[in-house]
Amino acid sequence: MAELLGPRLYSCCNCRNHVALHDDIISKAFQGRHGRAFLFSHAMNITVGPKEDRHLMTGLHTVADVHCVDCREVLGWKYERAYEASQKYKEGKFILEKSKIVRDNW
Amino acid sequence: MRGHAWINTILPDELIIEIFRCLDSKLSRDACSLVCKRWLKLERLSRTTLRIGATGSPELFVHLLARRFVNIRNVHIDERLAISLPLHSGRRRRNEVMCLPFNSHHATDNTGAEGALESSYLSDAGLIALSVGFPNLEKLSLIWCSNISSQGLTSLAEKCRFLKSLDLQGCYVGDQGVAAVGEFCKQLEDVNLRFCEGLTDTGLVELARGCGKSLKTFGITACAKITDVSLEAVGMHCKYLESLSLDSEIIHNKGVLSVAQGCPLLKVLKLQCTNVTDEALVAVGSLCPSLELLALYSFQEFTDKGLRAIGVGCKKLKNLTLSDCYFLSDIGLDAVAAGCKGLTHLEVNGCHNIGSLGLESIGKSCHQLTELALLYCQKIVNSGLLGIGQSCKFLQALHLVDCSRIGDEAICGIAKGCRNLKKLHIRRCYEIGDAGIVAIGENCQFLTDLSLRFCDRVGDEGLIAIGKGCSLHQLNVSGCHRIGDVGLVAIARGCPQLSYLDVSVLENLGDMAMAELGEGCPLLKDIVLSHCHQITDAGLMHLVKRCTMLDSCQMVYCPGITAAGVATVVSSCPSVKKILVEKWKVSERTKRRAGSVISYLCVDL
Repeated sequence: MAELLGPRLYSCCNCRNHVALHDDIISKAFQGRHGRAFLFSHAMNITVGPKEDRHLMTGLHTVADVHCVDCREVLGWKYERAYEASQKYKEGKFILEKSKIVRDNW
Repeated sequence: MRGHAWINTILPDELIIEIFRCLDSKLSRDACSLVCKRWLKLERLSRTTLRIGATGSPELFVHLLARRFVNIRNVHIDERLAISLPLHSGRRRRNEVMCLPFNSHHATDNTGAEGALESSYLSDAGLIALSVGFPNLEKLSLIWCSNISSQGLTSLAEKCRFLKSLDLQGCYVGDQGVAAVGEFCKQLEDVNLRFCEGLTDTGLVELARGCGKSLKTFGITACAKITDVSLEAVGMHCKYLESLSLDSEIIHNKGVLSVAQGCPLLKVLKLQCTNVTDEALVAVGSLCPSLELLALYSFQEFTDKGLRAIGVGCKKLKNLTLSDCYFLSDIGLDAVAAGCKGLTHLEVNGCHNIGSLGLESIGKSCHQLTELALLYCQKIVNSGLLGIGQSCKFLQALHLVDCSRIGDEAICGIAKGCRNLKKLHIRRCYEIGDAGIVAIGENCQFLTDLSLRFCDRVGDEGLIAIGKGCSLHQLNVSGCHRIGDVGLVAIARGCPQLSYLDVSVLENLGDMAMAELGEGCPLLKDIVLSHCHQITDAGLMHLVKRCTMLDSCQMVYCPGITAAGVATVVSSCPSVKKILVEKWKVSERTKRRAGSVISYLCVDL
């Protein structure tokens, strides 16, 4: 009759590790290195790499690459600092590339 | 008469009911109900538990159920679970349920409801029908029943006086309802409240006053308006309280102190309250000598002082969980070890200041330890686990996650000292390699559940030793890329009882292992093959030809498996319940045959 309605999860494309919740999506309209990307307020089971300054489409940001904690595949990045007022809202949030995550229907 | 069932006519009703009481799965009960009219009637008489999801017409449903099952004691209504009807197969969102034609009948039942939207959720009328239909109700669970109010709960309380357990999650019931429960249900033992935004201290105080003499278990999670006042009432009236579980940001020391003072029989305490500090723990230590289980979660302000008080006062402590308690260090754990010698379960999760010295003390004093879990403990080194290995002969389960400084030496020590080990789970401990696992295989003959995930130094040698020495039921070697066919073949030959196998993300695993697994492990029920690039249809075919009891199979990202392989799985395993695979690998014919069994990998975000 019924299947348990768990939280909708996204997993790493390389090893099925759960990395984010659908409920934490803030925007689906971001651009990553390899195509579309999503902005998440939280990510889990990931490690954050060293900080670097990058010039992105929206200006200068300090970001840190985000890896799956199990297979260490790069999934996106985390915004550590934004240098323009209009971009401040991104600080502390995560970009996960659409090509690197799959929705867990299990 | 040939073929006549003699025994059925001789067995009296009572005996058949007794036999049905031993059936614990719904599937068995349903199967018995289909045998004959007599069995149908008797099974209905012996059924005591009902689980109801979101239906299109809850009142009607409850009426039907009350007519059919008269001896129900436990009702569990969870409106998050939508029934997937044939009309809407594949879409399980709750909103879909409202499209049913039943709605129009029941819009009039709800005097206060507006629109067809709400009539599809259980309302007060439904609760009243429930109480009338099941007056002997003992356990009631209402989960996300957003349409019920105090009115319904009051009526239920008045009629179901034998209520023992009440679980309200995500319901907007108000204080009058809960107060009524306190007034009428004098046998209430368990109360659990989660996301009940309509409840304030007023209602809970009345509940505590009314059920004080019977209440044994009390839990509050995320109820925004319940404060220390409620806990003071619990402390004042509920002398026999044994278990308290709190997850709230507005509860302070005062509340916990009141419970510690008023409930001397407290056995279980779980706290996830950011505003509770050492003061409360110290009080618990001195006032609750019967405490057996203590769990402290997340960002607490607890320091060693509080833990020391627990060590001194709670001599009967058996089960301790410390999760994200950043300020706790070896000193605190040392105090617990010295005082709580009967400790059997210990979990240390993300407490970055706890190191090996604390563990060594535990090892020295707590010889009854049966379960140990160390998660994200970067400070713990081999000596900590060696201490455990030396003295904890009864250890049955060891769980290690992200303990990057623990290596083979520690695992060898555990293997030699803890020969009763049944369950070993290791994830991302990069210093552990074949040497440790070989020691486990040589010494721990009772091991049945082994999980080594992403331990990239473990290889075939370790698995060969395991295959020789342990008869595993469950094995997970996901991500240990040194493991290949040789290791899995050893497992296949040595573990005929294997029922769960996860070999995902293994690049070197091929068809030979699959064939051997088919030969050696016919009892296999669940298998995960995802991300194995070298497994092809051939290997899969050999596996499923022999493992016909397969319940579930996950095989996404396997480029060697095609539609033919998927079709073979479906046709060879008649009892398979779940298959996870890419959509384009399922042919029309397979879709028709297998239907709801197949789940598709969703890359279409």
